[in-house]
Amino acid sequence: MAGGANNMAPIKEVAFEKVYDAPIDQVWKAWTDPIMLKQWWGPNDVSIPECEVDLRVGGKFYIVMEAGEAMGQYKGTKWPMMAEYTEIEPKSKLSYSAKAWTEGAEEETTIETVTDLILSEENGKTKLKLKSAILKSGPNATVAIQGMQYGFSQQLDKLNTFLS
Amino acid sequence: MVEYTNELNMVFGSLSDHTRRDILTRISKRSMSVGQIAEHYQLTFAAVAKHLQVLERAGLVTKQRKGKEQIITLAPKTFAKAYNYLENYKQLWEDRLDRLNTFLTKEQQSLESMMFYTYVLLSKKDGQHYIGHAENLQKRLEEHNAGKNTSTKYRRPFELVYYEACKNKYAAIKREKYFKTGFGRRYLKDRLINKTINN
Repeated sequence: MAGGANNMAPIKEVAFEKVYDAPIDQVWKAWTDPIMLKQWWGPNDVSIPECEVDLRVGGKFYIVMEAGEAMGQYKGTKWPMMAEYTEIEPKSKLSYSAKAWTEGAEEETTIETVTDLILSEENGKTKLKLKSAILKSGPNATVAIQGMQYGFSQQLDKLNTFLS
Repeated sequence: MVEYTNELNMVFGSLSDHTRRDILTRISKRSMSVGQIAEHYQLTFAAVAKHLQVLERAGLVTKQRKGKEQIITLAPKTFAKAYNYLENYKQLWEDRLDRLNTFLTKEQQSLESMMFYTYVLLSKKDGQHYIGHAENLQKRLEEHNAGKNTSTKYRRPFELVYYEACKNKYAAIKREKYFKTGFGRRYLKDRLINKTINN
């Protein structure tokens, strides 16, 4: 990846903790099996035409999102992400540093991120801790997201409350 | 970017009115004709039509003629807004992790609904039984009868005389092994005896 990216202070950092009602093997597989990744990586109304996983430190993790019909003006837009695994502990830890961009506008849209995923087992459920940071961002880094399929009503309700 | 801002202004402008927000909420559940929408308000038909016009101009709804009626549908594309990576990085991940949850739940359900079977076939040729296990029993029986299994090829045709459903492959194999023991054969004989008498 870009030299020295890891030494940069992040522009933005997010962290999550979730518990999934699924065995740890399944969750690990969902993150590392391209066939499974294609089914949830998203966002909504986006298809994943390409996904490659070379699960070893220094190996590539490549995934392309493509906007679907429902995204109107964005339809057909592709957002590739090219990552490199930096740490792998099977069924426990996965780290990668990545570059993501909008196809055709690589220069102004590229963002560089680092992501750490930690899984642990808890009474047959799986606890997921995720930390992801943006280290560098082009001036026009956007990704389209479809807000209607899930939670459009909630969004509208929120907006309703906000505007009333 | 200017175009985008204008579009947003229009969206927010059209949402600033209570009736219009109410109409949107209504049609987010299902598409409706102008008449159906108008029924819900103490406004003239023309006033409702005007609100719909504002919503349509902002790209929030689409109008479609269907016979005599105009059907109003929520326009999803306006809601496919561009996410600024920086501002919305958290939301992007939040959505992704939610989808992971949905995906895992579905996977889990399909795993649980998968059954394995231990089965007993009766060869109509030599009158002897054949015991095996399979995930898709129907398909396996067809394979046996089509001669796709070399060890049973010359004993065709077969009839399915007994089967048990097991929770997983391991349990099905274990059951198959049991059926092949002396105790297992006696157990099967008891279970199959009625069948033999009936025949």
